[in-house]
Amino acid sequence: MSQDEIEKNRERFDHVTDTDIRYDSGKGLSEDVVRKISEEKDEPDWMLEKRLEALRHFQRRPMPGWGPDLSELDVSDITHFKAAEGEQSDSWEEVPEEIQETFDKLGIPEAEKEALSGVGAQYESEVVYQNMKEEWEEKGVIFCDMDQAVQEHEDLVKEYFMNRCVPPHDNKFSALHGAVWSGGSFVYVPEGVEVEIPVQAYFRMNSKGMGQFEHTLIIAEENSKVHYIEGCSAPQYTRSNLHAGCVEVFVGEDAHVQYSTVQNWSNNTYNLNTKRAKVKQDGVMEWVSGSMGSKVTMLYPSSHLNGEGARANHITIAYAGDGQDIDTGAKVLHNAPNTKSTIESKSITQGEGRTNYRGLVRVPEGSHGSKISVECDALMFSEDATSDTEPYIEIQEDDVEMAHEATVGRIGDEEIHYMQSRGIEEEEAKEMIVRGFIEPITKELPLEYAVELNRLIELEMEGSLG
Amino acid sequence: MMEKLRQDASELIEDLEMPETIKTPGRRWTRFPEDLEKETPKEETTPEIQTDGETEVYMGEEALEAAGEKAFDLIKKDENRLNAIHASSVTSLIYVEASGDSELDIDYATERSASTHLIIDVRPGSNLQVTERTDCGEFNTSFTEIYVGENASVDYGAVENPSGFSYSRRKAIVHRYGSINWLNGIFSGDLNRTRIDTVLKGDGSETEMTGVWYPTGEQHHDLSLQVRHIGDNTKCDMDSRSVVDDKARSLYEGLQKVERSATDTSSFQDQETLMLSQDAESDASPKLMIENPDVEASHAAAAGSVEKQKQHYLESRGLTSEEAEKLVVKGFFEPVMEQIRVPRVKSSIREKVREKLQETQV
Repeated sequence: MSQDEIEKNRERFDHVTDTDIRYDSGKGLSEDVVRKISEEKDEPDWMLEKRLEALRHFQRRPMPGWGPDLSELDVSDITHFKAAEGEQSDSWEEVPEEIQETFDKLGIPEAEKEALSGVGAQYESEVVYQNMKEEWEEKGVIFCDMDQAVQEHEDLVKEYFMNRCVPPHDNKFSALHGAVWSGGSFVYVPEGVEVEIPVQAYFRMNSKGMGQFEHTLIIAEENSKVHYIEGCSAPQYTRSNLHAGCVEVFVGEDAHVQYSTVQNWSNNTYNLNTKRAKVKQDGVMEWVSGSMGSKVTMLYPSSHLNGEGARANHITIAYAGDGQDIDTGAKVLHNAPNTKSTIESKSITQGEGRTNYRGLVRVPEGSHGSKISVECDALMFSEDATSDTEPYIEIQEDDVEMAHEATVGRIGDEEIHYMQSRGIEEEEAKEMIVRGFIEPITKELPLEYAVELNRLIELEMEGSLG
Repeated sequence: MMEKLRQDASELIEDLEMPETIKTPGRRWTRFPEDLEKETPKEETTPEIQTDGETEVYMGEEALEAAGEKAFDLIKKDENRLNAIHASSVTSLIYVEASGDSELDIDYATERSASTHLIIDVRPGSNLQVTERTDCGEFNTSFTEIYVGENASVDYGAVENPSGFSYSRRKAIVHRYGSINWLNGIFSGDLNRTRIDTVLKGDGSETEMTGVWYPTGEQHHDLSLQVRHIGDNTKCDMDSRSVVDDKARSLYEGLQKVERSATDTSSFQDQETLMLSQDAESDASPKLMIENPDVEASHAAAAGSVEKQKQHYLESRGLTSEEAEKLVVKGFFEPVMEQIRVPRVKSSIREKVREKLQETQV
């Protein structure tokens, strides 16, 4: 790829569009700001109460005393809520032109043309574009903007929202999220319903110094099946941006939920998320995450296996380029007998980047027959990179099988030389090796996401090598 | 000098924190008792020392003088509160200079509480085999500082058998082409925390770090093995095995740190736990911190119950459940026993394992 092409490609992912801002809560966070957000959204009182409770937790809690350096993150300097001009719309034509341009560059319309079933695209903090197949509606599947769900499915939201899975007081950033959350997706799949085509939402933040706090709530009732996909891409800015999303998943008995995400935040974003699933008897939760970009990422999807025979599979890929600290991992609580988890973590480090696998697996007393497999592999491309692995394993039961393995290394010169002898350029050889390395994740993703992930990694590698 | 050491250290105690322990959401792996400084030993320990070959042994005041800056240099008095408590209550201080081929065997056999400190300077090109045995009282601290010279090699073995609280801290710095082979066995003590560090400073230096522990009853044994690769072309092999029974807890933390300066490193870590009781607990955290890509590093950890392996013996040999379990436990330690180069230690570890198996027999 020539330098021009690289620049062009970068532009595809790092761009800013001038858009009129309809509502801006201003900088800083106070009770007043939180009340304004709730009022603007015309929320019921219980939601306002929840926001205020979260705000109190946030103000009381210290910053985490572990993990990556967050000292440059100034939470008081981040704007919490922005809505782009334009009302909710059901058809593409009604979406404002600039927003269309943004999505065009990301390939959303193509996905639409290919008749992907549900596309909820989030521009800034509100969903401006939603579509869903009629047949799902007939089956009782709900896929809508989270704000809309508060209005239209209040009982369900009240029961599940930051209540039984991730309470606001869970951690500093879930508290912040609870106070100022806006947008995101609500997915409800009734008993026995299988949603065959992945449900997708595209997230994007686009305004200077702005935080994004979308909330995703997925409820899969007994014996249902759904695959939810979320992708992110943010433009480059010089100011610190904060993303503190929250994902809550409820997997019913015998239900199957896959949550896949490819994230590519701009290199000044603090990406601090809380993602958790509660899994009932014989239910299956699959987390597939690709974390790229950002200045700091802290992301540890967690699975609480609460019913006998429940399973969780975690697949994560982290890519850290120069100046990036990607701290990702997994947390699995085996709270019931005969539960099973597999964790597969891959990381690639370039320049002065750092990746870390941070994982916790806990088997309390009584969870006999539990099986755990953890595998971490790291590739380092640079002399200045850092690659850490920090697993924590707690087992209070004898009838378990636990195996953990980790390896760290560089791409072997022999491999490169072999490929060069076959007429492949060094750069290309490296890319091929990386593609093979990340295959476990790409094969879990629909084609267009797999292609994008490969392209993003190529772009990052070209950028730092060229 | 000894009095000054104790005095200086006791002044540090109040301002220092207890040693770091792993914290996970809602849990702290090891909790140290409060007011430990009140339990410290008051009387001198008189260790039995046997030597063979060219070793100079200094004790007490003389040892502190001869060791000079080597005393409390690898392991600092002010590293944490327990280190300061140890230094303030040292009951035995030994300094050894080893050259040529030599052996050193120290037995702290005493019923009383003891705080023992051993410093060894292993001269370039020499080979030393060293063992430390503790059978102490309610409070025990055991510190070992080893300086491994160029081309020198050390085989170290410790068998820890305290009864109450025990804290061990061992550390070696290894110069060019030097090597140290650590073996640490823990078999008793209500609360035992042992941390061993190797600093591979010189090019071509190597270490093997082996831990064996077997908590039973309500014992809590916490082992931490850490290596720092600094020189080029250094090697580390960590291999640890624990058996945990009754309501006991086995804790393990391993850290392989490869610093920016270290090229062509190989570093391996393996830890396995065999769980004999459903009330037992095994916690493990094998960590890697890699700052240089020119490395081959891996770690593995595994835990499982005795049941599966037992079945094999039950079915194929017609043994009783108890006999089969004993065979599994003995067999479980064998792969690491093979790495032990000090025969004395090997036989005493086998003996301790037998004793443990008898203890738990109902």
